Amino acid sequence: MKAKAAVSASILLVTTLLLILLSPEPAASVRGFFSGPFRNLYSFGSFLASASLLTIAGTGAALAFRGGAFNLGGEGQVYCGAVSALSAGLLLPALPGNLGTPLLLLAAAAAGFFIALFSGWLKYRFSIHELISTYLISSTLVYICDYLISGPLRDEESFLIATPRLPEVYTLQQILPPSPLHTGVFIALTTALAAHLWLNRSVRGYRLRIYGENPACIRFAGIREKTYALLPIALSGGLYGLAGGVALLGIHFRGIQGFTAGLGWNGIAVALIAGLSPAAAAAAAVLIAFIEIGISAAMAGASVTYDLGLMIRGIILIMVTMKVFTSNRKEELL
Amino acid sequence: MKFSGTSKRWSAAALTLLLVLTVPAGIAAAGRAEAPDDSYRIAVFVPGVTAGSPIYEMLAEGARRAADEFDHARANIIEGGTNQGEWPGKIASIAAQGDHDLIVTSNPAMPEIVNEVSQRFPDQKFVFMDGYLEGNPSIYTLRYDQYQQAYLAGYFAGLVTSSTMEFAGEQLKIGLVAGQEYPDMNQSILPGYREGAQDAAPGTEVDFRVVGNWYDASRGKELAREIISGGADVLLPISGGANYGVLEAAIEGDAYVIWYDTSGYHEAPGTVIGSTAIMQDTATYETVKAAIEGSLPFGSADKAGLQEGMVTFITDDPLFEEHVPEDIRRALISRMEELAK
Repeated sequence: MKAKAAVSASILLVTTLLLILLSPEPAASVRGFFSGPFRNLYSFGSFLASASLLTIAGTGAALAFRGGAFNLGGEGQVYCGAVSALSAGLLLPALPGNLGTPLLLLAAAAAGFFIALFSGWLKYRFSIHELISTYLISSTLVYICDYLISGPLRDEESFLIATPRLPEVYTLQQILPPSPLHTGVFIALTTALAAHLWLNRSVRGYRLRIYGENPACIRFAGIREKTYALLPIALSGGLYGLAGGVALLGIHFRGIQGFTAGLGWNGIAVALIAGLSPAAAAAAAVLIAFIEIGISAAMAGASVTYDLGLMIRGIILIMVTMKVFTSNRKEELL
Repeated sequence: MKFSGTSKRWSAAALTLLLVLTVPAGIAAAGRAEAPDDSYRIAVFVPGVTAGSPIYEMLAEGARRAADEFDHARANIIEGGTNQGEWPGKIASIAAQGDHDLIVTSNPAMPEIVNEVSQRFPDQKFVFMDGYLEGNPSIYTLRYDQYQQAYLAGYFAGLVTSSTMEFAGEQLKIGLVAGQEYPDMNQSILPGYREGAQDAAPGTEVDFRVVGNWYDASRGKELAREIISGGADVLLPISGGANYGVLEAAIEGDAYVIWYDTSGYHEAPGTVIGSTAIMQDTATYETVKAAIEGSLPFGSADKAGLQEGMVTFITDDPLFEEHVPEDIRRALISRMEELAK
């Protein structure tokens, strides 16, 4: 726990240092960064909304890692999840909201689940490493989703590359107007908690962890290996898809080209900071969301260029995976 | 593996150093006095990045120039990046912050995004250059006459394709490569281009292609190649970064290019032989100045073209004079004079 606090503290400190070194107006940037989420109701709400999405994605990333799988296809799984929910919402006949919303979220999760399951199967059947297959499949799917949004689903009247809005009955309840905070925050907390309990208190969760650490052990125990070769990565994909669905129904309400970009990679960052623990994912998501909102605020206050913002974000993500942090974390885990 | 004592000490030292360096700076920053209340703060929201985008450079430049004329005004440039999906959230967070008296932005897509944001933050004033929205009391828009601008490009293209210039082919055929289809493209630019060409050389056909985004230069090149091999000899790319792919194809395929919105003669002398332009810097300067003075009619939407001097075809560039025969230049200029009346 101490180590995690140290990780978080040093990330915030390095960010500050970078802003001081690189911003044209260091004082305004630093002030903007730290006050980021707390400047007003709107920024606080969007901070929590963003943390919710990251919690779901981060839990998904963590589940794959714990089961010994690398799911690098988060970007495509999130986007496909969102686009599946979107297509279902736009193309299917109208449903009442209390039925439609869960159904669309299910469509989102199912899309991510099956995409990742396919990579798991390629690994199990043909020994194609999921490290490469998830990534390649995801990269292709991003283009397909881009095409769907700019082609068949496109709103011709819009100046944006975007689809029409979903019927309002499907959208998640807003809870802190005018901010974009919505009931997805409860979905996120439930997801992280459920994943934590399942992983640590259930037999299957226990086996999944054992499989992640030593697949041979599961084999010699006479447990069906296939289940644990496919389950972690498929569940991971399912949660990524769900994150895409929540982003759609809670924040955007329509598809805009590239609207979920970044969530997949940031999910991995969340999982790594959380030491691969779903329970800690919410806390790690809060940290990443803080950095995201803080960087935006620093940019808005002091003419920091967009590219510089991206660079600072990139440096932070690299730090997260540094050996100094990971070696300590492993000790806590094992 | 346990942390060795040395690396632990190193980490501790590094952390302490960071703390020593950053915390005082943070405190100093937080304690800095806010700008006085009577100041007029302008946020220029760039939907993209400024560097390398002349239209947005002109937007920033115009707003800065207006702000510099007043002691109490200050313009702050905020870049939104190229992901359209992030723009609504970013512009909403600037509006929510509430410390800017005016948000200036430019892009035909912005009114659609902001109209919704504006309902949540009704007190925030917005100015859109190159956009159109009427009737929202917090929003003023100024759009350029896209029909007229495209008409000029088309008229020039028609003159060239029917001429005896080196690369002008047999067919009366010209091309237009768009980044995406959107209402202005379909309702103003394409018809303007087509009608301009028709007026210059009756019977001229327009080969219209769409890239599908504003950055894919290789796709732009591929489309331009197809257009050129179809017999067109003048191309008008309106496709952002993909314009450079079109340009490459034209250089390789011996065709001419007309640049849109900003002067493009220097991009490829001899290939880019014409350039329409919008005076976004002047227009932004005048609009923002009126806003600071309090005389801008929020709620209304204006349109500016040749008559107002906000849309033009650049005819005084030496490269234009060097590469375009005199009779074509004269025909174009006299048509512009007629339109400006």
